[in-house]
Amino acid sequence: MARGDLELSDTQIIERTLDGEPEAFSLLVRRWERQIYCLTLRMLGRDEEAKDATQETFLSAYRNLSKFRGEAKFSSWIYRIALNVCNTKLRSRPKGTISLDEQREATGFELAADLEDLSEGIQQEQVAGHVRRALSGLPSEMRQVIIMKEYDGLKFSEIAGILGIPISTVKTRMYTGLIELRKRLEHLREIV
Amino acid sequence: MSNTKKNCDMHEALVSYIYNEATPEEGRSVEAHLTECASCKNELSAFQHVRGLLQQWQIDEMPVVRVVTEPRRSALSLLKELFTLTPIWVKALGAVTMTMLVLAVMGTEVSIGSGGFSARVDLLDRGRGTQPAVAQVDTNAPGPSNPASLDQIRALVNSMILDSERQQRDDIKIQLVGLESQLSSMRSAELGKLAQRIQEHQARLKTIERDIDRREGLDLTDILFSEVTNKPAPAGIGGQGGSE
Repeated sequence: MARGDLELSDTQIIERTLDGEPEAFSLLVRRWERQIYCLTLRMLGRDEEAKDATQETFLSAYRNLSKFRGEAKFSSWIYRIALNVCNTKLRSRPKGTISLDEQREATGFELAADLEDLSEGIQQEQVAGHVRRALSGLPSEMRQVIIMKEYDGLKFSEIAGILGIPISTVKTRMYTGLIELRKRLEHLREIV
Repeated sequence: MSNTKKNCDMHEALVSYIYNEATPEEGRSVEAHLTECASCKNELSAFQHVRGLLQQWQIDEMPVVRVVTEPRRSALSLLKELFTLTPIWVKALGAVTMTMLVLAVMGTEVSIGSGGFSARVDLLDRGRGTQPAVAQVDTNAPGPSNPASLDQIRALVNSMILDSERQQRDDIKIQLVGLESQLSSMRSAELGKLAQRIQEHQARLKTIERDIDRREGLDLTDILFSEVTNKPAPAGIGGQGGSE
């Protein structure tokens, strides 16, 4: 990879890919894989499934690259693909199935109830576990809004653009999601 | 007087305010509301706490994403590839089918019988009835001109396939002969270069050998010379010893 390649915009990389330079797409993968993996992991809550979803997202983006018109940002486009992949995976989950992590938490490695006695690192890990479970319990449409706002720092207008819904709907989902999380994380009131 | 939660219609404004996306006017309105609404104030505080907890879930590990990208190919290149991979007999059959299709479109009638082979082309002149429009070939006069049976058509197609295969084999043979001659000329050229390089190396080797011999010869002379000059001469040989 040439040094100048790193300075190319997403649109330029897409043009190069479409002009018969498929390896240029790997620049986009490298540029966005972390955000997409974090998004899918937080949406799905399961590591293996998130890795698969990340792969599927980029594969789908590559296959449909010619459909990318450049009207929206590439990041918005790929976020939309990733969320679609996640929602498909969530819908196809058989009812009542739980992941290995969830099983581990349910049998013997449950999250500590009293977090104050734990060291800082372990406490953060434990809180993260509680947060992951609380987020997993939210309806998908609330979860995706909260994730994009809290972890990706997107503006409400950007989230509305990605989801194709009005900004007011995004804010309502955010508000309802925060209310839900507040209830679910009530037991951690003294932490942080 | 503090508002009850039911009366508050500040959800969207509150969310905008928390995330610093409120307009200045909206911000002032929220701040004014918070001074008199304990419920919203508590909610704001609770939301800030939830946000702090959410930030505790950070992801450190990164997966390795490998997207196998294939070059985007045009329809023409795909067709070319398909044609290259297709066996010869399929190509021949395809050619025969296409020919028959074209002939059918042209309104050609072909008949093979004991009376010989006859063909009639009725291109864009279908209303003329039974009269041949363009050409009629009758290779053998006696006997009626019967339509070709299925077996005869099959035999014809088979013979065409065989011809095509023969033609392909011949082409391949010609290509192979050409390649062989190319290879042979390349090999002889390479051998010539190799022989030349060997000769050069041999010449250099000889030069080096000569150089080594020359140096060794000098050393030996030096050694011998020094031995002769340092060694005391035996008595009776030379005038110096005798004079002492």
